[in-house]
Amino acid sequence: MFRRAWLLVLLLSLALFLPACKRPKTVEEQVPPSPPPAPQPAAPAEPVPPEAATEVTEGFPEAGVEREALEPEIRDASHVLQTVYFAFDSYELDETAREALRRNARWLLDNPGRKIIVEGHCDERGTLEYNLALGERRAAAVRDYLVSLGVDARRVRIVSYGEERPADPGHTEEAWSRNRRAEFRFEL
Amino acid sequence: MKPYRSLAWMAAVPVFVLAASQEPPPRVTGTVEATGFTPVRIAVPTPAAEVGAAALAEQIAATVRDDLAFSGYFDVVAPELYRLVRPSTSSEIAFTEWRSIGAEALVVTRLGLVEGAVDLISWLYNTPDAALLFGHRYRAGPELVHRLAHRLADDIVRHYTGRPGIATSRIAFVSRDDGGSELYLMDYDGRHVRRLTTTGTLNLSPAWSPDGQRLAFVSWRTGRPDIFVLDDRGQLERLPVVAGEMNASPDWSPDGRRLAYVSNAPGNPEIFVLDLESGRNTRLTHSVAIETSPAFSPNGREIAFTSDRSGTPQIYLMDREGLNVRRLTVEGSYNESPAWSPRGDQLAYVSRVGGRFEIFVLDLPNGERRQLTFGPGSSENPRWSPDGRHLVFAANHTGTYDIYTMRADGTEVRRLTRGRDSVTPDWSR
Repeated sequence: MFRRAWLLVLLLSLALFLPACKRPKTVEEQVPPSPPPAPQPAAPAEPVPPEAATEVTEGFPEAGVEREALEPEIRDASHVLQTVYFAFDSYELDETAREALRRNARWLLDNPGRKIIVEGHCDERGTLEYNLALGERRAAAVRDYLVSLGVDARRVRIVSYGEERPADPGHTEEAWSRNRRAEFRFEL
Repeated sequence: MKPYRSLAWMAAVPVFVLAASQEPPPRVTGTVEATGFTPVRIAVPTPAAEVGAAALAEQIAATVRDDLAFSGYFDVVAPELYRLVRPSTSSEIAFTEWRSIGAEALVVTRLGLVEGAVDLISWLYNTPDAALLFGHRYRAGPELVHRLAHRLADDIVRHYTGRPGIATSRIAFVSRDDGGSELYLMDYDGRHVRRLTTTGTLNLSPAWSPDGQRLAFVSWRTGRPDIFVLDDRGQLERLPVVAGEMNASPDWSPDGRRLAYVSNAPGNPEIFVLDLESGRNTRLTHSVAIETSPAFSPNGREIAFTSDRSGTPQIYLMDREGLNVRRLTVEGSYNESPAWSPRGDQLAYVSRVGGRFEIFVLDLPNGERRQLTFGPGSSENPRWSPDGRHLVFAANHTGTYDIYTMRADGTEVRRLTRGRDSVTPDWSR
């Protein structure tokens, strides 16, 4: 109930301000960024054009729509499935990558309902077309290893993005090493 | 030789193509093939224009001058000198005066607006003997005035060289933005950029069909890289390639009937050819390595491609049936992106030099390689102009990728796009 009251106050104060400010930008600035102060009788006391007041009390149905942030795990699998990294122009899995993939495989075996997409990525060096094939090789190497550990191949799809989706937009060795990767998403 | 030639007769000549005199036009200079071809010194004064068409007239003249200069076959006489010459009228052209400012050839044009369309009558003259070399009339809607100018320039080039010019050619490319990367088209000179796709996803590697009416390209619109064809009427078609999780790197055969591409359907990236009439796919390569970037030779008999079967990406050649594979590049640890010159005697490609990537040309008859670009940053994705005298490529000279052209010897680098993050250009044939 309190929430409704908040909303009403907010809308009322908006209705007060609206006629005064023509530019929408200004309206935005007038909206309290944090929860508005406690309800005061002051708002109705102000002279409000009757039409405007009527409209507000009737409400805008849209205001009743509630939004909830989705759990990140719906798409992004990085909190349970670890991203693995590669050397330049290589699609070999080193021991660090294999260790991470063994953990990933364990999770996948414990959660048989989830299907995944392995995305293969490259750093910006090299040609786009070769990097597209290289990204495919990286994603395929990850899939093959997961399958060798018992994950059903039908649960794993691969997509190469070549160098088109860098994790780090920088142009340094450090950025490049973060971009040569295979990362995981859940199929919806 | 008459210094002034009467133009009066022309008013009576039926328009469209005004035939030149029967005698073969006198040759101003040597032939194209000859080494040390001397550029023709040509003057392109602004067309005489109706009231209200002055801006268009200036635009047309400027475009034709740029086109002729770019071709390399002409030295355009500086327009500032043109006012030293009496303007051409319907009754006389001051050939002696044009010669005195150095013009060996002269383009006389008259611009009109007919029912909203641009109407350009143009005559090409040899100034030493006042001979008419050709007369053409061009018409187009005002939105196509640049193409009209390019057509005239190409006709002038063809007259002197016997070969089609490139001014009407176009460059397809991809520009990246926040949502993804979209297909664009521009004239060969970087003007008249048009956006072709609005998908909000990734699109890459446009490849022109030989007839210039279709673009094959790679798009992620179905969630994975796959090959599509967009035609000049805006129709989009997904090609019946093999079912891979990655289909990419399309290249048309010179007869436009087949398309080479890469698919990972066999389990790793291999080269296939799709017969566009029958829909039949044929696998050409068999290795556990990466195979990509197929490129049909201009005679259609061979395909150059990249493979890392030796441990590093190198360029190979095979017959179009996939047989007789031989390695072409021997120097360097990264050679990729092969592109045949239109005559099939040279292969442009990308090679890693230190930490950068540069464009090289391999002379196929003698195996010699030449480096064409020298930084800063990297230069990639070379593709030849239809006349084989220029290359278009993507380079990050300024920190972001843009499309550039250069002469086939690496000189006269021109930047065509400005900070659009543009890659994978292809030059129409």
